[in-house]
Amino acid sequence: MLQLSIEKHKRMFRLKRTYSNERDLIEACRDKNAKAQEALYEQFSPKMLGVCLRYLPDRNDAEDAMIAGMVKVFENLHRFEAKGSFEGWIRRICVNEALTLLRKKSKMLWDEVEKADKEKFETDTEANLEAEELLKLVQNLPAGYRTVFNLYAIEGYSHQEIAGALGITESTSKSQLNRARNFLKKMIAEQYQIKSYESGI
Amino acid sequence: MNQEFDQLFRDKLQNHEEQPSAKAWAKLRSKLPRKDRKPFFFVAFGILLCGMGLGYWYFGMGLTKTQNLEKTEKVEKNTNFPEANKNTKNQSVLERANLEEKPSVKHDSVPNLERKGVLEEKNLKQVLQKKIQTEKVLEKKVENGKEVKTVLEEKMQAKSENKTENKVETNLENQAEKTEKKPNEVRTEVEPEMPITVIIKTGDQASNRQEPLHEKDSLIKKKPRFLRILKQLHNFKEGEKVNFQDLKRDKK
Repeated sequence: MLQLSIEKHKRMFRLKRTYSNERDLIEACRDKNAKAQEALYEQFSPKMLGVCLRYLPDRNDAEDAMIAGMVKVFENLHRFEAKGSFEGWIRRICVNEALTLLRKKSKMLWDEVEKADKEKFETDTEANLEAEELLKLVQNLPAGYRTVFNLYAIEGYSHQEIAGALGITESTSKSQLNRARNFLKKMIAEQYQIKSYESGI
Repeated sequence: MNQEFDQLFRDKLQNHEEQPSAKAWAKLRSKLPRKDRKPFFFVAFGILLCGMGLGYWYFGMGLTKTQNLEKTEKVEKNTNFPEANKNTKNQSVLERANLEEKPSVKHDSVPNLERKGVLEEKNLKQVLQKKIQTEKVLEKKVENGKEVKTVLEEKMQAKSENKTENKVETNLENQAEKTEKKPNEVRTEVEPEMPITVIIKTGDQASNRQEPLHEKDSLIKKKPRFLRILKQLHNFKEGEKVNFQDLKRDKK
């Protein structure tokens, strides 16, 4: 197992070395070069799977979304213009694929009533949380909350963009975001309490 | 407050990576569009076919033709069949013996019979002609003898009669001897010529009779080795009897 992972890393290193320049890599992928395609996959697939996992808690679903996103990336490489970030372009495609799959898998419930929670937020508690813990918290959110929170807080979409992408109003997007935040805060507080109880504080 | 909260999640999760499973790349690869390799495959297949065709023509047809030509030349040159039949190895001992015996039988029996028949016919004709001639001569002589008798009847009856009879007898005897000798002469004249004609006849007949078999054997044998191997493989596949002698190399 260890040997396999070492060989894989070696291979990745070799592929990255051959396509050190992103432009060359993109050009080679446009020419349907199999090695270049693999190199691009090796470079971006872990990140994109991380993105998809935030939207789709099930790993298989997330992986399917990532694969579908990467296929679209390879198919639409000729449309990519070198003006923006290549990674950002891929990320957007993968996010869209994750949302498409999410729509198929589950019905997202949208609360139209906007309630801004004004609960105090303790910065010390969540500062110690690791990425995986945070990911679990996000994955535990209801689908609607989770999606808006991911798009707004992590991807940096505006409420207008979110409304356009999900087919909801901006106010709904805002309310979903606030609910997601409150939900997360609650969960973090509970987790902190459990941790402090366990440690005997 | 909310911005700080969002920032915390952004920092931690934006670049968060998860390693996909090993099957993911295989899945993705199966869905990826690939380069069209059809032209290459078509060209390669075409070249392969051409190569095979040329190979078959060169090794298969070409060699058999040349070998056939060589064989026919040999057959034309060598009317001595046992020598020509040395190449046929698969033939049984009996077949070989038959082939060796056949020419000798033809040399002796068939030509002799024909020769005898021809000779007899010619001899008969000549004998008949001679007989007719002798009969005519005898008649004339008899008439002459009668005339002589009439002239010399008065002078020497007894003597002249004996003489004329003796003459006639001598003539008859000479003529009879001639008639007997002439066929012998004809034989002596014909005999040196006949064997040549007979040999030619027998050669032609023998070649006409034996060539088809001989050619067939040579064609079967002189197929290229790989074709023979292919044939035996085909036989093996079909469950037929495999001749392992065909797999051996040709002895030059």
